Amino acid sequence: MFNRKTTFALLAIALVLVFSFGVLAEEKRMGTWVDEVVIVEEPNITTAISRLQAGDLDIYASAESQAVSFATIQEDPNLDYYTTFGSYSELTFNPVPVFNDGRLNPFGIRKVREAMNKLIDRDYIAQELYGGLALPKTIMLNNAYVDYSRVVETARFLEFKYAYDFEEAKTIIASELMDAGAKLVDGIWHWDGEPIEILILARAEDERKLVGDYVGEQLSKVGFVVTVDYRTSAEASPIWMSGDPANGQWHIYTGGWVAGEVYRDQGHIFEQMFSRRGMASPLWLAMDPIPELDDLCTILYNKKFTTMEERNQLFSRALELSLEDSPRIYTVDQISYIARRAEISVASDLAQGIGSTPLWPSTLRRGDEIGGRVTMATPQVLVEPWNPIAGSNWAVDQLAIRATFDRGFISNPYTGSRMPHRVERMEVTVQEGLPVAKSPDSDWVTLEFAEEIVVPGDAWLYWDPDLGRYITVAEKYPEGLTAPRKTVVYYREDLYDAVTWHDGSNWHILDFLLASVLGWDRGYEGSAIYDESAAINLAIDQENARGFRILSIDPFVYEAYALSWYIDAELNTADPFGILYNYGTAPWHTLALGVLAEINGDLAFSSNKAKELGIEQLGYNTGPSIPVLAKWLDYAIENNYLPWADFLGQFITEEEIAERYANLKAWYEEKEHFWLGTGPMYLERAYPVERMVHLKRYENYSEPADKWAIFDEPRIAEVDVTGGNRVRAGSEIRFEVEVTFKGEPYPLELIQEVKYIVLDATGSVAYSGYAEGIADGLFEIVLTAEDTAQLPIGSNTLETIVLPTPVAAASFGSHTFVTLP
Amino acid sequence: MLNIGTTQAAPAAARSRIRDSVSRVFKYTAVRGITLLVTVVIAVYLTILIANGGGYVDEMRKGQIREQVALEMSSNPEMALLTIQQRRELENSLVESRIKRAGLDRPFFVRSFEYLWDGLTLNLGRAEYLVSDSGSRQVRNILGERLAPTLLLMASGQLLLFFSGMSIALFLSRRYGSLLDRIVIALAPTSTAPAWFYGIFLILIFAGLLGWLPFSGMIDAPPPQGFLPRTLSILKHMILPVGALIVSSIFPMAYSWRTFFLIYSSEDYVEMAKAKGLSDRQIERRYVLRPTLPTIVTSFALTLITLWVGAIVLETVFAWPGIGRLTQQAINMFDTPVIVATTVIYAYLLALTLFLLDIIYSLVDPRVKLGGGGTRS
Repeated sequence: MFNRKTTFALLAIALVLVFSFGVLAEEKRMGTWVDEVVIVEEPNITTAISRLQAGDLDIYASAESQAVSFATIQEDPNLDYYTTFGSYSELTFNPVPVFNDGRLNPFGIRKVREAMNKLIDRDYIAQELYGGLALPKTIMLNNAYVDYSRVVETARFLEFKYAYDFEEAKTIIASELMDAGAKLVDGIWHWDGEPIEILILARAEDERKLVGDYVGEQLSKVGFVVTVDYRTSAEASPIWMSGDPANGQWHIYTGGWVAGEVYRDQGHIFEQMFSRRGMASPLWLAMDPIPELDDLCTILYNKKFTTMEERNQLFSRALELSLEDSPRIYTVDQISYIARRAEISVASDLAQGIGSTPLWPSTLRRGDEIGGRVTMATPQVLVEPWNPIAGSNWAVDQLAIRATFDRGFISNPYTGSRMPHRVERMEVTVQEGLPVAKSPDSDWVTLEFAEEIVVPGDAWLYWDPDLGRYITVAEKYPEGLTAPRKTVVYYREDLYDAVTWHDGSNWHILDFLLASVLGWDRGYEGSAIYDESAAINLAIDQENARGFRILSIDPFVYEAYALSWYIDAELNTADPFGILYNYGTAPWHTLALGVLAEINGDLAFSSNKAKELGIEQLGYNTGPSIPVLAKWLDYAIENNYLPWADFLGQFITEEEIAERYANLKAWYEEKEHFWLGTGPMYLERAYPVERMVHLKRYENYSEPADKWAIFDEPRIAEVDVTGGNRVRAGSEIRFEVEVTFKGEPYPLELIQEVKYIVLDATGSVAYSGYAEGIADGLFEIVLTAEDTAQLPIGSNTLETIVLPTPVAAASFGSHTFVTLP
Repeated sequence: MLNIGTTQAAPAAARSRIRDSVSRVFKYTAVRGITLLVTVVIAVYLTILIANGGGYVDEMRKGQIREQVALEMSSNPEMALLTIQQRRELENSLVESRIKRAGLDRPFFVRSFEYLWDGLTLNLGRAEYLVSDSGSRQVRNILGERLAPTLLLMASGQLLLFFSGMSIALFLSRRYGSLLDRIVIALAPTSTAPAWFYGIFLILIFAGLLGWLPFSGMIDAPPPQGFLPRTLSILKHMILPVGALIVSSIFPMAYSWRTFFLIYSSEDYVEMAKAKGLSDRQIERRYVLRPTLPTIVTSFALTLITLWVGAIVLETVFAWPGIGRLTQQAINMFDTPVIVATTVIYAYLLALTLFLLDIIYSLVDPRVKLGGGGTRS
């Protein structure tokens, strides 16, 4: 059919193709780019920077804010950093008008508190006191998160309204004090014949000490006698948090807060900050919020709105009132940095850094290298025992733990949204009228609305130890039960084949069921593993349970009903695959050993119970638990042990049980610990005395190393606005908005929106709108002749807010122009 | 008769003297033991009071617990599902549970005596916050894990320092006024800076600039397998901290001991020995070292017990996992059982050392008599 030449040519092509595929197959790296990660302890940031410079460390995985070290990083071409935005600072006021001993408290007067916003120069605080590692903050919302851009008009208006104006603040304070009966004598405010003394409780550990000094100076200039009392967190807590504010032991506390994740919805924080319901502490109970603000807090906390427009209006009004009330005023959003060698790239969560994202092991890489070792340092290592029920939740422990286990969904480190990982697709149904929406990019989610969501009677509600099974919805609620949200999760068909525990065992439905039963059972008083700390939530959890069903075991399809819901459809997940993700995870057979150890009084999952019984807390990773678990492993092997066997036994065979324990025995004999996961790295060894954790790449991990390559660094946009500097009222003017990342144009399809507002000379928002995309990285804003005709004569500021899709952090740019007559 | 009587009287007198001596020693031992015990009890109880701010620390810890619970709850959007009443009840239950777990539900006064009794009976119990590196809350495990690294570092450093300082001092006392002597005198004020201060410089030079030695820690990461590689790795990590200890103290130590030896070297009996033509070595051994032995022994014994406490800042600078760093952590976290345990063990060691020193003095210095009326010369 073919002549010899053609045959040779075809053979040659075939060989080349086969060879190429072979090479490609060989090069397809699974799991992680690096072979090993060693986490060591380095408590000091200055030393850490020196070690990074010397190549002794690759990453210092702790969010730091020391300005001197930051300058060193910026000057050294071999070093680089990631930024995080999760921390913010404020001034909390004692709101009691008159103390028990009869002293007047100026901050009990609402107008005085409000005036404090103008008395402090937030730019000075950010630039001078925080060394530039902070952004001025006037309103509660963090401008790195999406809610800020949703209400940016109000935000910018309020920032302008409450900008630094010392003289005005002084005038307002003087007026209010005089109304209260105070007198200015020789430049000092007196009340009832005594000077008014202000006591500032300043946190001593960080820049808030300087903030305390600064606020003290400002208040002195107003005419108060000021004392700044420097206290650590522990020392200050009994005074401001637990103490009765009516005792007058303090007037101002330099507080600070941390956001543990990239918030997609900050609505619940109003309740915490501005209502008496925020905390059960005397300070919160002493607050007297504006009634309308109090109502708004509750509405936003309980998400009692039906559209996003309505929500934005509620947010705007709540922000306005929160500044009028000002039980606390915000000073700065801190910018922290994660220092690293320049050639290292890794995903770093915008809120808390590397340790907060499970993507760090998959994205960690040294340049283009494949393999090798990366050395990370954290201020502490191995703080508490690792166990997935009630073990260590310290961030430094979680850093290592998160590398070792997998989840059904992955949280996007830059937007806070969810992405499917072991999940194929998800169906979300919410009650009609709830403002839930899904991103157009999320083709793995379907969103539907229903007039009523009825929970099927055969859905399991919660574990009943007396029945030895889950009680059903029909048994508990014969009259029927509804829920505002239903989620059906379809796991990938390869789930049972692709996911293996580090000892080689394949994932099994029992890995979900046993953990679920265990979680409930330890809350019941008659249980052999009863734990008082687990009982506290039991009644509430039972009441809030809305049921779940396993629609199919293989492929795994799970249906869950819930009272809670989120405005982003992608966040309305249910993930039995990652059921114990709060503290790590564990397969059923290592949990069973823990159950045995706890039943027999050798170890306890929680430190509460361990302390009560005078025994050790269970740690699967290292320490005194290991020989105990080894003993119970032998027992389990001998007896083919399965806890709650009457119920769980229907899901597993005797052979499967025996195989699991055999795998674990082999693992223990090699690794000498019991910490198993399904993640891309496994725990090779924890070195408690040497203060190190050694992680290695799990070669059987099923996912390619480049799966999450897009998250190797946060693509925070840089914005530059150019255009005319002056315009005659009634003429058109154009502006260009250049959006870049590392000097390259930002792709148009990755920019969600470019919003603009025009602030006129009075600080009012004259216009707002959306810029038009022209090309990659280029947008245009046109103010028409009609627009400019309505602008007052004088200086205007055009502010642009760029919201890229890959990151939640909005980027800002501004341009000043003058309207001429 | 007289002779017989004399011979009979001699053993009786000897027996009487022995009886007197035994009685005196016993009485001395008892009084000294009781005095030291009372001192230890007072010292430990004072430590408990100070470490707990007279009970104020209880309030601080309660405040922290409330703050922590409130923050956990407020950052959990699921709490919106609860009514205000339920949230309050849950918050209070969690706070009470944690307060109880921390033992703060009982008065500090009662607990202070429990701490004291447990400490004195070496029932070290459980730590309140700290866990051992391997995850144990037993104080004995926590201390046990840190003891070996501290002993390794401090024993190497202090013993090297002691013996080399002593040798240099003897050497210099024989070369009074020499160039080396003058250099050591000039360098003696180096003790004004502590060891950790030199540690930072040594790290900068040998780890940061030259890259010859590791910055900190106790062993390479990950730890090498096999005895020899591990040992070599640990030794490599010890060079800088031990070096810092030596640099900070060797010159003042050599200077002070050298002065001490010089004073003894100018005694009349030393001059007499020189006049008799004894060699330098003989003079040093018989007439200089022997009378200074009680002071040397005291210094050595006190050096030994300082090994136990480690060096707080030095261990922190070098990230050395020892007792010193542990003590700092315990103080920062107000972990009373750990603070009491380190204090009580140190107090016992100190008391025991002082007690033994009294006995050793009487053995090495013929002028000293246990419980006797002064010295004889």
